[in-house]
Amino acid sequence: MNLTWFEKLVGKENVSDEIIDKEIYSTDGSQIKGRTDKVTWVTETKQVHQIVLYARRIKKSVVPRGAGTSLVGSVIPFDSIIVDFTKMNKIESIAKDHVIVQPGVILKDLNKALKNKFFPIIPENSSVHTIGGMCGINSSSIYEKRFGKMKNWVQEVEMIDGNGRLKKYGPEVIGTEGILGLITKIKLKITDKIHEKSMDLLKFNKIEELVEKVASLKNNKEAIAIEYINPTASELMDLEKKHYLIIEYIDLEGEIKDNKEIERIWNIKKTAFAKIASQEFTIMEDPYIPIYNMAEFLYWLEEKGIPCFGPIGISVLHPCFKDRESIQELNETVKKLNGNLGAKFGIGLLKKEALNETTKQELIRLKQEFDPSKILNTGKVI
Amino acid sequence: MADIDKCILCGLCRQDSSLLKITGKETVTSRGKAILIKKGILDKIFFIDPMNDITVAHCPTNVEITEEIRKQREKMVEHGMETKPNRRMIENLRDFGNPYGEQKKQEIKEVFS
Repeated sequence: MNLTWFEKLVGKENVSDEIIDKEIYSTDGSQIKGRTDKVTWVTETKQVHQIVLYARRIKKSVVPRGAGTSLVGSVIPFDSIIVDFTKMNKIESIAKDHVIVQPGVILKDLNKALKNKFFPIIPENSSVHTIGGMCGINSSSIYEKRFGKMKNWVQEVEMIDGNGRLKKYGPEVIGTEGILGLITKIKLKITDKIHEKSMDLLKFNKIEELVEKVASLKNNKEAIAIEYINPTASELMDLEKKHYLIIEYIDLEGEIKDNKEIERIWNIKKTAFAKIASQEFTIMEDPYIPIYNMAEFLYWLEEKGIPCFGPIGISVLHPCFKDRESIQELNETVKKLNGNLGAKFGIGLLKKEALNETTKQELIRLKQEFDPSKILNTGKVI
Repeated sequence: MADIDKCILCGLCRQDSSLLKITGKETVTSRGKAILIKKGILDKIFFIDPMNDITVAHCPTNVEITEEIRKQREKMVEHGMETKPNRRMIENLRDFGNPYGEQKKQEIKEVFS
């Protein structure tokens, strides 16, 4: 492919087919290895548009990339042009009830800019995640129980589909992982910042008591986050070996009311994966388990010695593993308990079996309509 | 397990890289460097980026990336692949005890460190 064409479009410094860039952009958080043709760092919508039109003409795969943190291989290239959105990171406007941003905006930077307002879809690591990437996987939030997912907060996106059409769409394209189009602008709803909050940190010896507590909080709208840490994980985190529940409320219902203490407890929770991964449990999964089978799942984790934590309030957990071979057993157990695989991290390359047949057929139909040449994020999801 | 093998490519180090904010390029991050080290790729990028921008503040597996970069630089020197300024700096250190080379007395009035 003609490098000069790209140099004219994005500038010499914003395109590369050098080996170091190709190697680095051939992988992501999943550690799967793909193959990059070239990398472009786009700064404007018209550049993205031209790249898609060019790629369509020569039938070349295009992969949109945010922070590259996908654990399921959502941005692995197959001899593709990588369109890195890191430099398209402008907050274009902030209004009373909405904000318009470019896809490379980092969530933490957005919330900092909003001051008294707040965008409540906060994944565990808001310091690196980009709004574009979050749209791609319909990102969930630590406050999902109260605020739902990304789709609930996107009003409109500007997207370039595989036919090269630049159009505006509603939230229906959220969660399609870049296989229908490249998002270049996002209009997000925002809300008032949470000022009053409290927390409970509870320890349990018995799984039944813990599950009963979670079930009793299901309809408590003030309990916006319910996080769990299992005994194996707590031991690896240098905590007393127990079952833990961390419950955050948006009123003063909880016993802990000091904001610094609340932040300290959240930080312990945030470092859970760090502590667990440092002891070689480096693969984190994201199954959904219905509450009526949660106790059985927690017993299974304990029996197998699998460290686990996660937002139990929305019935999602993060069991961690040392190798991919062990995951097959997890998948079988999750299916047996009427759960779903891939509840939070998207489908990408690794979780295709998590996609139900109806959704798959609908996505195949949409792919045919939006990207009949199959150039966008090739090989993912379907 | 070698220290660099502990890197799980999670990308959390992106928040520690001030150069990433300027260049937008993954090559400047610790993850970028880790991928190249794992691949055994020797490149001038290991000399160009300032070490003080490479931190492990948010690394979940505590990879000592600065030490890994130092080793990579060492390998490049062994293979004669170091940059010219680096070679000159080392020669100056050996010959004059400072990285700048021979200095006339008037040249440096004060030294801050």
